[in-house]
Amino acid sequence: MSISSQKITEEQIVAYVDGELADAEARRVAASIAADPALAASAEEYRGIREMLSGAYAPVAAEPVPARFLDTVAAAASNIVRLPLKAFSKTADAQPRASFAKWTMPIWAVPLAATLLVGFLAGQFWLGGGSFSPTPANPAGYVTAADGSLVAQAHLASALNNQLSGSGMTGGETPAAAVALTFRSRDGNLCRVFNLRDTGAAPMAGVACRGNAVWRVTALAPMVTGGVTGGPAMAGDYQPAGAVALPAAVNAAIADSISGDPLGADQEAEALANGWR
Amino acid sequence: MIPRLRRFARALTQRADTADDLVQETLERALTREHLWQRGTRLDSWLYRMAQNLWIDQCRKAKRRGIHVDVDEIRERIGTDGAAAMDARQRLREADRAMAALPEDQRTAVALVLIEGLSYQEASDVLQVPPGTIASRLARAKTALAGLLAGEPGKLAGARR
Repeated sequence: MSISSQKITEEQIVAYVDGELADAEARRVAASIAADPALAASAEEYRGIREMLSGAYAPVAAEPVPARFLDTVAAAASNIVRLPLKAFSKTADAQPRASFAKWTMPIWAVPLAATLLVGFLAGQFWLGGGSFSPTPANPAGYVTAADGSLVAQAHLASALNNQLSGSGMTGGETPAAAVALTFRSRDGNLCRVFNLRDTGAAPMAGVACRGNAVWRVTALAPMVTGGVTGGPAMAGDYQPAGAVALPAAVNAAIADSISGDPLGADQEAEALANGWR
Repeated sequence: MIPRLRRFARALTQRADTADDLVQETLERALTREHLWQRGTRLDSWLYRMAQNLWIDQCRKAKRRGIHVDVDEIRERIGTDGAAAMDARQRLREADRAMAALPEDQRTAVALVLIEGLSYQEASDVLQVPPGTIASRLARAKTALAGLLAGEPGKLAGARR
């Protein structure tokens, strides 16, 4: 029996073009296609359909997300985005995994709204693979998942490393990420409160703490504007100069972990010069 | 995830406004039914499935209520974008026409595999049917669309909304 006389079904053709056939069957179908112009035309037809449809709808996923979606998610998240990350102590630097035990649990322990928000900020969908187009101003995403925790990267990492508090919030150019204040946690680590302006929709605020040469995000919440659903924005004790009320979740995260008062300008400049150790 | 959900909804509904309304409804439902999401399973599968089910419900209700007019098409014609944007809109309209011509089960398989890029296994998880069923739906869609795209609308055997 010659290969080309085996009847190839339409299902096999589409599965072959979609790369879904096991090697042996794929080779058989490929050979039949090579031998039979009608089969080749059929496969080509399917390829054409695939390209037409995927190409036509692709731009939709590249569009900025309409604000109302982020507002919906943010409203649900405003009271709950306290990432279950324990501040780690300096002596734990040698054993990072133990300190972040909660985060090495599967990510699904975090509430759904937080997951959606974080996925949006990360510029990648990190629960189950796949990715979407980040915003043009933030091609790399503000955070990435590493060792089961959220690590600042790109504009956020750069702001946390190099900005003095409040410097990003005045003056001409508004950076994508701005730092509002610095404090030392009870575990002895330096933590900084940041704002993210350019997320494509709702601005966000959060806390990141330094350790093992990275900034790990410990709290994250949307900046809820006036007339809010899902909880008030607290005019708390930790408002940065000249601004914007921090979300309740962020205020709570600071209150829970701060040791003493926020760093003054001199202390902060020194910490920055010392690489945040 | 949200951009992908928007794209999926656009392919399912073929109308921008309707698609975004569907995404909004899906997000609201997902956020209130979080406890139904089985931890450890894929979030995207859950959201795709939820959007798909909501859309089917809406279609059934709309049929009972009768036709409602959507002004999207009119709005698009009035647009004053440049050539590239018009070209993209043209291609989108052509794709919408193709998707609208398919029966619901084929349309969803096409949306998940060809447009969202899921594997047959992933699509079968979303739709809770065997992977072989995905293949046969795609094969039937191929037959239906091949005729349409060749400019022969009469070839769409059994096609209905």
